[in-house]
Amino acid sequence: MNKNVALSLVMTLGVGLLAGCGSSNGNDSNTNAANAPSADAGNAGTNANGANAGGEADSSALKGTITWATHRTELVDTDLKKYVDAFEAKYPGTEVKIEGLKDYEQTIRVRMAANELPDVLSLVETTKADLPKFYEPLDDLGLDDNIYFKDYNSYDGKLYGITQQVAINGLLYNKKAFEKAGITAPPKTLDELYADADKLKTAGIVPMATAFKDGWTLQYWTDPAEFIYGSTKLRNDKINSDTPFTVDGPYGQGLGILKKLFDSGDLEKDVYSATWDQTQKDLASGKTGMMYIGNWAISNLLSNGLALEDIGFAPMPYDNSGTVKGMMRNDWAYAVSSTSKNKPLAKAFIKFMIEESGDYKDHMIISPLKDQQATLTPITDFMAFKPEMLEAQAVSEDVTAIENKMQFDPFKFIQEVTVNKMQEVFDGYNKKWQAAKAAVGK
Amino acid sequence: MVNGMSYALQKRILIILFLLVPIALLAVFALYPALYLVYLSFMSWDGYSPDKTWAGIGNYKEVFANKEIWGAFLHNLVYLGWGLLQNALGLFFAIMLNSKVKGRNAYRVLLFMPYIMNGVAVAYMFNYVFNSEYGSFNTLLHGIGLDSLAISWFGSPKAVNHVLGFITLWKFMGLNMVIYLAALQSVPSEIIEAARMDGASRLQTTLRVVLPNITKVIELNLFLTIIGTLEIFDLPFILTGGGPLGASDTFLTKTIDTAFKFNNFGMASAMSVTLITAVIVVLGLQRLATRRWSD
Repeated sequence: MNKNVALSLVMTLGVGLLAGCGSSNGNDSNTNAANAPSADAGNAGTNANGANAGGEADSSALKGTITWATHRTELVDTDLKKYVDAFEAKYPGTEVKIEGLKDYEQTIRVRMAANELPDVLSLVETTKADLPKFYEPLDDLGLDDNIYFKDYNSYDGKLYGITQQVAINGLLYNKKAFEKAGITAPPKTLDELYADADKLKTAGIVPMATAFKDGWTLQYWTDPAEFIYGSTKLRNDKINSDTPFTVDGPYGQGLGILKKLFDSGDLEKDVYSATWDQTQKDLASGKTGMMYIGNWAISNLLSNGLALEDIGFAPMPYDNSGTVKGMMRNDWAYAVSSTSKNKPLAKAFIKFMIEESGDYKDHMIISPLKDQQATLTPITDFMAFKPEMLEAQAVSEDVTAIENKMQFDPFKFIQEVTVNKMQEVFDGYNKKWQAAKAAVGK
Repeated sequence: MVNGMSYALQKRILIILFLLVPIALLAVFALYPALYLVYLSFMSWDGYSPDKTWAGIGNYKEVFANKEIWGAFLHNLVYLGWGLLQNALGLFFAIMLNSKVKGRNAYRVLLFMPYIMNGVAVAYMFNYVFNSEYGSFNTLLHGIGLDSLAISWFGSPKAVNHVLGFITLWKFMGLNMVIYLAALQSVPSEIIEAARMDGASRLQTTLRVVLPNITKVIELNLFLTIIGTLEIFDLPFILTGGGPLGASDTFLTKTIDTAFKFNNFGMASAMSVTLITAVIVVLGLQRLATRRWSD
């Protein structure tokens, strides 16, 4: 008899959760209402009502336990634990369980399908229309006007994810290696870049690292194409063309820079075995001169033994005009699950992580808050070039659909362009693009 | 209560009760996922959203129309070539170690050892061996003056599949050898002795007497090898990630990319079903061929 009661309870709970999932498409108040019956499992019901769900809510209302899933597994037992301890000390009676996931994206996707997302997590991208299904709006944190990449994870005017850091891409170089090759200042024009590469090569230093084999490190090389195009809409604007990849267009010119470096032997000796693990060491030791990558890599060089004053960071020239641009990219975004049973606490935790944790200073990365100026020397050096800063954009739904249909792998695309004949590679991709575009019906 | 039942009924109830758990486990963890895979192969699904839409045989059409996917099958063929060599070597070593060689147990252990090693560990080990700049193999080649042979093993589109095929040979030859060895020891010593007395040479005994007696086991080993080569996945996935430029993609790495990189679970399921079908077809052909041969 008892078992039957328990069973039916489980069933109703399950149904309640399902109902919550189904109705969460529209407005979030429905979600809370649907979840309220199932919240009796432990959390105070008052918390589940999202009326005062701000980070600035009365701290006495913040009680209970949340789970925080993060991709930063290497920091779970050290720095992240420290931030959680500080948070729990600030709001007594709360508990944040950290869950470091090694294969983060896959694990979360499985949980997404099972409707079992943790309370606080790094947002895994879905189509924009699906954002409200899985995530809770974060507009009531009051950060909307003060963060970079607000539009990246927004849908229908609501904000669903806040980037955990801002990354600036630039030429990261070893000042000692540049000195050894007789280079006094980072290149400001494309010609200077090629000339510097020659000087480095003569000095026995690999001029430009790519970590070619790993692929992902190459993704930043489309930045020059977007600088030339003048906007970060380049990838999305493909939708207007049946032949988006042309040798004399932005893609051809932008990727042409990497290709030219490859053709003149300025990349690693054997690009196919060049990995990021080895590249960090080589950059730090001065075996390699420079690399085009995000500012977050500065801490990698430091941990590989290069002193901060020997790390240079400068915008990447994309033509010979002498004006430079810089690309800002977002990172994983903090998000709250739409099925979380303790949303106020989850939101307060995100706000704490962004505003008070000290994460940004500790790891020498750039805060997503616009009013927090970066003070790290390499970044202020970068800014001294007065680059025009561009904000990367989310790939639009239609373009994603077509790219998935044609099985477009941007890393492989850049690899192929670099080592093969550009025209042939572009022809192949244009053909696939056209076919997939027709198949998807856009 | 039990007393009222006939013995046969009790027995039946007992059998059903005992079978219930394993069959339920089988149904939940093997049958249901397999059927669900077939179901998914007819759907269009991105892997996480709640909506799946009916795609009919569209996924299958796409699999068969996609040249890159079938190109990946050609890479599997390279592994098959190395797999056949692996069987030949396994048989060779088994015959060698079946005779009274000094220290044969030590040799057996040495040759079988790679199979016990974890696949990922093997991958990392060979990553160091074949690294083009720091690898031990190229260092050796440079050391003996064969600089022109010291190429980028994982970087050359032509060499990469052969290098990976060689690693699978190294890892799985021991298994083949042990199975052959067991088969060889089950060949009755009387008939071998009889052949010897009739004046057959050692080679003749092996070819005419021993081998015909172990065709079933050769068939089994080929079966294992063919399945292994069609489903090869861990080495290219870890060592090359399908690179350089897709030259070492196999059917399975393509399937995984389709599902997890391009969020096309429907088509990935269709690819898996296609692979299963391909395995069945190839094995059917193999059975047909070996049956004719052994008759």
